[in-house]
Amino acid sequence: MIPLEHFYFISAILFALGLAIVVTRRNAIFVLMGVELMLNAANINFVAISHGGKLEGQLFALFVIVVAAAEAAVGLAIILAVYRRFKTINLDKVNEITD
Amino acid sequence: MASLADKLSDILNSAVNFGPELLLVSGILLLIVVDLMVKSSRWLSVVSILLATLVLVTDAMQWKLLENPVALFSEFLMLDSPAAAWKVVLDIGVLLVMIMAGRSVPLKSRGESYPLIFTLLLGGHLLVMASNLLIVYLSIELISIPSYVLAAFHFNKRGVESAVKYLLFGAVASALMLYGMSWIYTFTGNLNFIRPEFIDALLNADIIPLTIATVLMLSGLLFKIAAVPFHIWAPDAYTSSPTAVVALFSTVPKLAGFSILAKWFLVINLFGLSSIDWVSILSVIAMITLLIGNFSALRQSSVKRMLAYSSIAHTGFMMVAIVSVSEQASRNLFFYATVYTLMNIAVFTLVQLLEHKENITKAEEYKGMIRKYPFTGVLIVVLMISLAGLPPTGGFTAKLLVFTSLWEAYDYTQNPVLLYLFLFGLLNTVISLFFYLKVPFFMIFRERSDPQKDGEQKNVVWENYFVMILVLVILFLFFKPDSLMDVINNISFAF
Repeated sequence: MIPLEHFYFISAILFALGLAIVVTRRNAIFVLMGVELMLNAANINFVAISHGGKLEGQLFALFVIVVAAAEAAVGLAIILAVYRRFKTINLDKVNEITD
Repeated sequence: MASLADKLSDILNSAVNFGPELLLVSGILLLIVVDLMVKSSRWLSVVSILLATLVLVTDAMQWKLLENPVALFSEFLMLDSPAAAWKVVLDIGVLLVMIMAGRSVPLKSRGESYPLIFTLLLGGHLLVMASNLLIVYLSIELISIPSYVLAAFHFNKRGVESAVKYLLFGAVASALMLYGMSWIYTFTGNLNFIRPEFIDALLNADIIPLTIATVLMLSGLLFKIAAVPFHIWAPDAYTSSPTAVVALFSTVPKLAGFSILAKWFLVINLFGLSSIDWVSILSVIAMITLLIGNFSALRQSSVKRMLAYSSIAHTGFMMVAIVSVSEQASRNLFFYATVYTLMNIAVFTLVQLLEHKENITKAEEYKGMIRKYPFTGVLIVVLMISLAGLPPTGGFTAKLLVFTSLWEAYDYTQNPVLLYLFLFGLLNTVISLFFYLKVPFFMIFRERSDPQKDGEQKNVVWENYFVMILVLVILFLFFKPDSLMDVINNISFAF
């Protein structure tokens, strides 16, 4: 059996990668993908901990997947609306509000 | 393990105490149907105001009838008197916003806005009752996702820009919070954070991982209340969203966030046993929030943006009540929240009125408006005084109460950070006068550029009477704060 720590390591790496993408990428869709990685990192933790018969964690992971889908749907719709008006989704260029 | 029959009967029993939320869900569905069937937006407005009133009445009744805390749905939710009271405040906020939305063209032209606002309210209801990390996450998302859409409701360039900024900040903040939760679940093996074994497990956890997890978890809550460093979305979202939506953002999600932060703060503080001094950390965050809110507000020319920073500063003042951990402080926070809801929605109603009638958004453009709109002008002056926290308004009483509980906490613990926070708060109240009184200054002491229209008296708009009632309540709360305090004193904030 794989020791539990391995799951924690993989989830920490995944979370760090997601956060790095969020911080460095300027493309709105990449940022959303980074967020998705962060959410999945949390999911791995939740599922890994509850392997001993506690179902709460697995339940949590299922809910997170659903919420992530809802958030992605709204997020992509907003990004599409941004693209229609700005003709770009580069977040540095989506900057009209000054005062 | 309980049997299936037990679980089913638990669900049925819980549904009895879940009345307001069930009403909200059916109301949301009804609004979607009404939006499809009826062409005129007037009916939609009427139905939403009725729904908001009905939810408010059922919540008030629930609060009145509630004797002991009830655990709902196998302890996922906990209905206690603070939760019931917070729900009433959230309902009042939404009801006032619904009335105010009568003037809001962007909201009325698209009927989807009403179900979205009620979904946000449903999220708020669940958040204040939450006793389980899963519910905390779900209800924060239930508040956030409609907010992202509502922020874009002008459907112009600036609107979608603010929505995408709000969305990305919100998504990242909630992902950080979720990861923090997953660590906390690792330490405790339990998601129900009001159980004693949850606290015991946190007491035994290693301090460094626990600190990291708690900081991550706090980031999501600080985002919801727009505290530094998670406040950056607020000014942009407030400037570019419809004014009624801004009034909603500045009250309902923020207060729901405060209610859960107050609860969660007791947990992470481990009832004073934590080896990390969370009181000092949160005090420093409150100081920076006050500083950034007030100093940035000084430089703003747009009134809505100035009010956005002012609401960040108010977050700082409300955090003062959270760091002075005591039952009385929770009561004072509740008082502050009530007054804040009334005055914020009132001032945004008038901003929306002038925006609609005169197409003005900047403070300079308010010049001489008191001669054209004398009644509105007087109301704005009173509201700005109340927001700044001067007598004779409820804003003063609220600040006085909050700082009294802070001073008591300092007296008790002798924590120097609390003393700095106290001095800092008083200093910031003075600074805030400069920008709050800017709008009244332009209205009264500057002449209008087109004085020939001064003869017109446009006092007969319903907003004036609506706001007048709110202003009277705010003034009443200064002269007789006991009337509200007596009600609040019946709430048992003990954990």
